Amino acid sequence: MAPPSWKERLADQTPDELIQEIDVFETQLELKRQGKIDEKIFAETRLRRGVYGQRYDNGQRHDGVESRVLEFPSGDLTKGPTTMWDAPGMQRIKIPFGAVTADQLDVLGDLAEEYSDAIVHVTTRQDFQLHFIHIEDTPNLMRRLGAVGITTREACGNSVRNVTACPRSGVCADEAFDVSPYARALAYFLLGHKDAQDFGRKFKISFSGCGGRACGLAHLHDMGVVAQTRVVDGEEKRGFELYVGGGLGAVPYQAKLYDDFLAAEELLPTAQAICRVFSRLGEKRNRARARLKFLVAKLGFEEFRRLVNEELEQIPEDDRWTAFLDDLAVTDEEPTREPRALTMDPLPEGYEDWQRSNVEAQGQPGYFMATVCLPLGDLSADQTRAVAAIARKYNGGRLRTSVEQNLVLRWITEGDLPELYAELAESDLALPGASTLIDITTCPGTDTCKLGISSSRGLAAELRKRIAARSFEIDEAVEGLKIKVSGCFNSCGQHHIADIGFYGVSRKVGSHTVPHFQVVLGGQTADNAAAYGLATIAVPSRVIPEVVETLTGLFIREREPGESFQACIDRVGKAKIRALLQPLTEVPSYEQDASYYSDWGDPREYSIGDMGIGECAGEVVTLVEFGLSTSERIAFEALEDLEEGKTYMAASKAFQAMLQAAKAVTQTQNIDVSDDVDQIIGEFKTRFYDTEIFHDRFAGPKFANYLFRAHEEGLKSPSAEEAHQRIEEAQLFIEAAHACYNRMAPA
Amino acid sequence: MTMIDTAKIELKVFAAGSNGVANGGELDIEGLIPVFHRWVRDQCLEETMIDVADYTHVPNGPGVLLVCHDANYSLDQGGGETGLLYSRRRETHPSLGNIESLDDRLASVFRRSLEACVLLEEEPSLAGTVHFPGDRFLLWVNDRLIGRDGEEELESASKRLLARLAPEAEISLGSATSEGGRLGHHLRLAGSPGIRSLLAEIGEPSGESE
Repeated sequence: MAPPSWKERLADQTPDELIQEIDVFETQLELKRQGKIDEKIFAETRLRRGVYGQRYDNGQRHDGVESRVLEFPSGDLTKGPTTMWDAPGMQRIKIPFGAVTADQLDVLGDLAEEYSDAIVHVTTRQDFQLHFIHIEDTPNLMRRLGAVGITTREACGNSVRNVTACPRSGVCADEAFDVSPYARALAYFLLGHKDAQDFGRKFKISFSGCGGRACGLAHLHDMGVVAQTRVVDGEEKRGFELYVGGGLGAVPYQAKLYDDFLAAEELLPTAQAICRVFSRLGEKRNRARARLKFLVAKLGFEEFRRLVNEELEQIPEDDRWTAFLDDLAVTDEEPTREPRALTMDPLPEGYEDWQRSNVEAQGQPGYFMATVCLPLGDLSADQTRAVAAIARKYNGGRLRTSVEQNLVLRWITEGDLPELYAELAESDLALPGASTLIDITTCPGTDTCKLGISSSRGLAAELRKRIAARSFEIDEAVEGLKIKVSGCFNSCGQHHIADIGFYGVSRKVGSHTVPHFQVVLGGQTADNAAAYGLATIAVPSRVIPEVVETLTGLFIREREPGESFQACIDRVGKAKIRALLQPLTEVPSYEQDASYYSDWGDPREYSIGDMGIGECAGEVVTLVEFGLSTSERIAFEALEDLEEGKTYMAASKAFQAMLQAAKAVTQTQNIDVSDDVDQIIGEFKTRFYDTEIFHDRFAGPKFANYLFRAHEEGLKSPSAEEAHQRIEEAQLFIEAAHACYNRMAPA
Repeated sequence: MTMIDTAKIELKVFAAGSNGVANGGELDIEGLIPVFHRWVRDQCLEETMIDVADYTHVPNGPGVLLVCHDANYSLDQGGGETGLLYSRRRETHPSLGNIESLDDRLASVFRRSLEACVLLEEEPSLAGTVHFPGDRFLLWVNDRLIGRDGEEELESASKRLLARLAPEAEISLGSATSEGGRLGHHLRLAGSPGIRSLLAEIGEPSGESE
């Protein structure tokens, strides 16, 4: 007799509502197979269940020589626009406030083994991801997750994404109070809420237990919530600093303080009101301007606040707004072992290094947090089950994921630490260096992401290897620096807040394309990601390890006592740093050194063909290259002006840089274009915008619109933030001009 | 009716030596990255080959993975032992032929695995560092719906297949199934005739599937 299906087997272990949702999704799959559901509706439907596309899902892959069609058995059947049904995809799995249990980890390991590639990946937003999943496997995968209390609902798509929180919540010595029950309450309140179903883009929320540390990264979220206490009438009250309108992406915005003390009972209704304003007034058609940050900027902060208050007066009362306050213990964790002192002697080899970087005392005396450092956020199916078993033994089976793509074990007694280390080491899970230079954050990049331009994971793996090989020589001053890598400008690797950040770009050299990374400096994770860095110079991927050596060497040589990396970079100045790195930008010819023409971890000759191949061909190659180079120079000068506080000049030059890049590409079709601003804009619009030649395959007209908006708005007295954003836009416009030129240039 | 009605069968063919290194050479797992990329480019396998994934940073993990529509191939380091791991997910490629029973399926899984082993042994860039004696295998039913009830069926089918492929060899089987885990068997062939011989005995698939 055949065994019962997962649906039959797990029916009594799963909430009815979730069973029904997954059944409906399975039906939608069948309807799509039969062509009875609209392509775009189905795509958004699957995204809202966390079923995401992956590189090559258009059914083509460049093998280093040519682009080939992948012959899938379902032929032309698709699961969204230009997305082949059979193409492997990614399943994102939401983990609210990063709290995961041993039972859940066991299931994740099993699912990775059966449906994915035997790897479980931790993301920069405390989710898990499984890659190379077939869409037809997703309903059973969801059922098995549902049976251990996990829903993938709204893990992707235009929805409230995973609500993140500091992994130290509840055990941190510095926190105002444990934000876990508040994060949990808000996550489940907004999950499927009718007021959070009509967004133009995604909506991200994070919680932090304090303002000083980086754990919650409040400033880069649509809603950043930071715990505060205040004494009112002699009684300590819990509340939050609420920040609104932040976000990374192509043009990053710092969230602004909306309320310096939002009472805990006001948290859920305020979030609901913000969602209603975002739903009602947020951009829907132009996806590039659809995040909340753009709405807040467009309306102005005070008008936005007025609208939220107006909504608050109109929303019908909901018991759930405050019901959770009666059950704040729902997320409490009790230790399973009594505190005991360290007695093991001798200590296991390597223990002291691990203990120094990976162990931190909790607020509760006698207990410690231990970070399981995961290279590139990956662990094997076996390791996933092993860490689950270890957690069961030492703390009752509770862990947290972190935005640094690690796992955190809490409630470990001091006496247990050496044994814990030894058991983790048996499964190769006791790597030292958590939150140090070697603990590099990275997005999936060209490994699996459709938008990836350069290999962020390949680069991170190479840097990790080199740093590990030199671990005994690394100066203490640089040990705590943070490196973060993104495969493109969208910043999933959070490069804007790194000490040393990188994001992938490409450059045409002769008839070849060369993978590059922009070097981003000036960002900081501290104070909840209080400052964003800016791109300084584009360097070939191949020499990025030398860039890291140059920058860390500079810091060791030039730093003043007590000076941070960010302050040192600021003092030295980007002009000097750019000059230092300039020699590394030289690209030898293909014949001299072909290694420059492939990316880290991928021996294929580099191509951006997997992102999309253009149709047009241009002729004025050398003139374009020259013009683009000039535009980069002007953009850099804008950066220098900004550093010197000359915001008007900075913004003006940023516009000039865009104009120069527009002129450069326009010259491929009209060599006689003059320097007259209106003529350049007009010619560019007619020849490249209206014809969509300049459109990015994925971002559409977004980058061209930066130029037009800057031209229309003109300049009055830009603030430093506005000038900063204009420079970001100019840099992205120039990258788009390079990409456009690459598409037009003969192979 | 069969208990084991799933395409999800996984076979690890162990390489020689404790770390998979033959002839005193040094196995460079990262060296597989260009090899697998070339296999994709030159269409070396009868598969819809999709991509190569580098997991060399995960200790005792899949190492370098060749992702195909029907199955994944890797030189797996799991359990601290190197071996070619073939993990079948589905059966859609026409070259698989008609698979109508567990016996057909196991033969098909062994065929695909051993073909990849031969290719790896003959790979010039690996310079003979990988050798598969064909005497030890780990067979999994990679579908937890199939519990211990399928143990006997898997054992019988495995024995029948090995007896057909290597009638002179001494066959021994041991359960690898863990509580709540996957159904699995260690298979040993003392006096194995080698992977080429085993492959020759499997023969061609019967008919073409749709």
